[in-house]
Amino acid sequence: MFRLISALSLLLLPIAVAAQIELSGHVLSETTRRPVVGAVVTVSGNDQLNVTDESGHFQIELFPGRHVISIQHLAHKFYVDTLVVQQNLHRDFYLIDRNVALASVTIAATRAGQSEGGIVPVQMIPGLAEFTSDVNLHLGAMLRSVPGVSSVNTGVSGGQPWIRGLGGNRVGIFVDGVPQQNQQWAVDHGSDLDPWMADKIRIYKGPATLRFGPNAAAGAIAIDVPDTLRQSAMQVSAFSRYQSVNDGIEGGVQFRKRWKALQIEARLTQRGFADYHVPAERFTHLGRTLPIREQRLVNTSGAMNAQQLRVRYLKGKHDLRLDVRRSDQLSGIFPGIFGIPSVPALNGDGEPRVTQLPRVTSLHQTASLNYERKVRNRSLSIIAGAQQARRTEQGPPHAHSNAPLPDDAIALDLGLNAFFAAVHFEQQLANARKTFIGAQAELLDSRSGGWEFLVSDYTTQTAGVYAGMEGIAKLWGGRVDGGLRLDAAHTTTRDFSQPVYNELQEVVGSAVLAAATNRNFPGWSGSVSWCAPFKKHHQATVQLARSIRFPSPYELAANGVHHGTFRHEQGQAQLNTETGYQLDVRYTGYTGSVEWELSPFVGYYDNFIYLRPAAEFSPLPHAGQLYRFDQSDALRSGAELLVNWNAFDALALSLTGEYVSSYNLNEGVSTPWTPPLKSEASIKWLPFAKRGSDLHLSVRYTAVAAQNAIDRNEQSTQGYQLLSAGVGATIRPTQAGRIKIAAFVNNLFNQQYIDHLSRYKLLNLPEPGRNVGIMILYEFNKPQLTV
Amino acid sequence: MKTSTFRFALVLLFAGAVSLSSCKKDNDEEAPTITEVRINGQLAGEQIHIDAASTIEIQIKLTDNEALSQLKIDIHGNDDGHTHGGEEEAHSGSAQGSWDELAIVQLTGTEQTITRSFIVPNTVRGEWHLSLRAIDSKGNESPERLIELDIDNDFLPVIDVETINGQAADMEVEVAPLAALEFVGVITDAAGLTAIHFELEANGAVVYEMEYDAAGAPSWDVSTANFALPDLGSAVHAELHIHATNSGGFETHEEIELHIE
Repeated sequence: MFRLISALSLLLLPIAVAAQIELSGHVLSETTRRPVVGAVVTVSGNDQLNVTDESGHFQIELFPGRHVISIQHLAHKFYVDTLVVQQNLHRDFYLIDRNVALASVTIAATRAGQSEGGIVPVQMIPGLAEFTSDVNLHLGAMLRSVPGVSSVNTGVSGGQPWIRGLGGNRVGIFVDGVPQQNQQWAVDHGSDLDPWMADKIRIYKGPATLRFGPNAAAGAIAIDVPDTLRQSAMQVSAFSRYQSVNDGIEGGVQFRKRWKALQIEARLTQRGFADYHVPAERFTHLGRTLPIREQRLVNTSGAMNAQQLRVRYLKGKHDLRLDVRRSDQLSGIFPGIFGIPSVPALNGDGEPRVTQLPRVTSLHQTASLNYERKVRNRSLSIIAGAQQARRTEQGPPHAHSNAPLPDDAIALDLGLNAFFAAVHFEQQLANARKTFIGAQAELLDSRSGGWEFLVSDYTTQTAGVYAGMEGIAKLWGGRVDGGLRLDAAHTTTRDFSQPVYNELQEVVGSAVLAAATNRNFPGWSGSVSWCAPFKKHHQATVQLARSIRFPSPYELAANGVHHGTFRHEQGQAQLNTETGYQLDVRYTGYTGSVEWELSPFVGYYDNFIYLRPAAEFSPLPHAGQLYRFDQSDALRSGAELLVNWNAFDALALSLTGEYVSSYNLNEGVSTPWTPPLKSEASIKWLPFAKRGSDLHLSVRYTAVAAQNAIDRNEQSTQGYQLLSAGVGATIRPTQAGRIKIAAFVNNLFNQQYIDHLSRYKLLNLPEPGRNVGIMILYEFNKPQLTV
Repeated sequence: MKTSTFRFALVLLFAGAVSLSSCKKDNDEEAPTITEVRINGQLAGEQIHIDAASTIEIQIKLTDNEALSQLKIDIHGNDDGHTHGGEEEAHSGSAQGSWDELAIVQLTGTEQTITRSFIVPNTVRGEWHLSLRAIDSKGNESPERLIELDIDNDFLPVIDVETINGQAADMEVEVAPLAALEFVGVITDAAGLTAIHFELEANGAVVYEMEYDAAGAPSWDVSTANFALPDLGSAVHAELHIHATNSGGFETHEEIELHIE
């Protein structure tokens, strides 16, 4: 099989292998023995930019002889040495730490020049491994510090990451290569992924369909497996956190151990939180303004627990991973948005930690098998995954139009089974070129029940094949990468009718809420990028991509009140494939202490799918205007800026900025939920860095402009400024153990502001106020970690 | 790499984006307008008095610059003190009885006058809201036009509890555990009261109940019903329900919130 795919790849993309030898190895920290990611490795006589990957690995083709090798990384001292290389050589290099203060968002990976076949890469931010106060309640909020990434709050305890103002089925979330399909019953249900389990994250800003498929038309978030442990190594971690905004207490444990070829990882996290505090006295829904008691949103408490077990078999060329995860959530729904709001429903039960009706439960279970085989310059990856998700929305039983009162509290009962399989093959060629070919297939099968209706039962089958090459040609001193992908989807949704009752509660007919649909969506996508280093330590990448996105079953067949947006949303069975053409430019560079990245983009979308206010009211008494999915041509553009400056060894300054313009060409208005202009400046200071202490103080200032570029009937929002601060330090009670402590305060001045992307802006509800928190992490390593 | 090439590409990119963004279409973002509302022929302001057991005729004039699409007429009682349009002033709701109307009316053209009639039940009294919204053919939604309907009703007894233990009874009343409740107020009915019923509900159960015979009297002093709270513990929310029935068989109900701590 391996040889067959290899031969097939070579047939597709025949490349002559030059007679060179290979220098490969790892770049590691001398202090921690951890891999140094994003270190730039250069060899005299070779103009290629070689950057270490997530495991610190690099690989350079060169001719036999004497070479000067230099390695640069912002947080480590410059390394230079002379090597005589006569045959293939593997060697590890150790860099001395500079104890510099680094910004939480690094642009190291963007220097890689590894565009993965035309997909412009990547920013990386740490998870539990780095333990910063940026680790937030949900994945979306955690990624918000990356310019161009925002979080759409779909409730106080749920959030979804958006990239450049697009989210939902346009941004794929992948865990070890498997797309997460747990909330496919609306376009903006929050991700239930436990942020503590996200050690390593790659963020693809821009079309990523070539590698990830149509569900990554605007970008992708890939959560990768953590580094492998050294033989017989063991790591035990335990953490806990408290935050005041919801009196949330969470904790977790992690165990990792390697026995020869076998590595086991187990994680448990648990979270409980009370009703959220908001700096507001009232809210408005369905035209009615009602009070908020004691500035607290009643019944927004909840709980979550998550477990993960990963068994990894590593032997020679083989890497086999079995990953089993489970996440179980309970969150209350603010009664002000469930049905027609009334004061008695807002009185609550006086118990801020008790979650009453209405509420949401969400269970997500996944199992995936990932096999990788690497033989010299070839690698094969096979992924198979199965997921089961169930979401219930529960509320006080009620009925409309003479219908009998339901006898349970299950308003919606949504279940989804998902199966995914993928194969990916890569072959390294001479002069750092690479070909790749792959295929993916997925089956989604959803069932819905309950006494309310939101979306029909549906089945979707998708399949795609792709192939590409890095280093297709050399052009203007740079490298051209590219690839093509073919996809097809078949979606069927079932019809749904509701009985109609007379005053005697006798069934006298039925009302069709959703007609059956049977749609096929073929399409192709592609990407070509040009990436070139220039001057010294500068790099430019230009990507031109064609992306596609198939209408989701929800966009085709929804018809009900979505409690996440408090609106009646209706699908349209005639929607067609959305096609995007996007040009991305990325310019990165660094001097000794400053690194920067500027990323402008512009894109034209044909059949852009969005939710538009219809020219009619919902017939449901507890809903206002009807919102229906529609299509239009759209033009989107924007830019992000990131500058990191290590002013001194102990002081790091970071400045970010982001702007998005999104224009509906048919309607002559902005598309809804466009993120406002945002800028953030942060300072991190390590006062005792010279003594080897990592005690740090940090301050972050966020300025967000007013957003008046809005869709029809959409509320504009005012600008605001926020100040946040944090302090943290590491204590090492033993050689193998360390304790990290951090405290933070977000929104220091308790600023009342409305996030333009929060669904709660529809209620005139501000974001949570001042949030003070403390975190503690204990980590035990024996021996220290390395690859 | 030649930097001039890179700069050229960058300039081209932004020039393209700016030029495309600036080609704005002729767009209708103008919401329809509810220009005039008449109730029983009388021009309606923010508030209007109407009688129970009468028919009201509502006449609504609407305009839009392109094409009207729908009008939503929503009549609901204010029994919880809510306001509209983000108003800050909170007050207790005075609606008694149940009456809701919801109508969605199809509209055409740029100007239209809609007339609808509704029968006000003889079992309702107090503050009702008439809420009107319109949508045009592009989906632009008008701001809400709200008119307060103040419904007078001679069919129902009038419950007027002014204070409980000296505190105004139209807001939540704070009382101590086991406290004696002392009422100031009067219940009246021209046709004559027949029965007064007091009921205290806490923790989902009725914890105190008392029925009084009013013997056809036109008024009844509420202080007659003074009673001591049973042992309910502390930090308890309770609701006091007062029902008054007259000789015509009509009943009025009033609910008073108690916080026991």
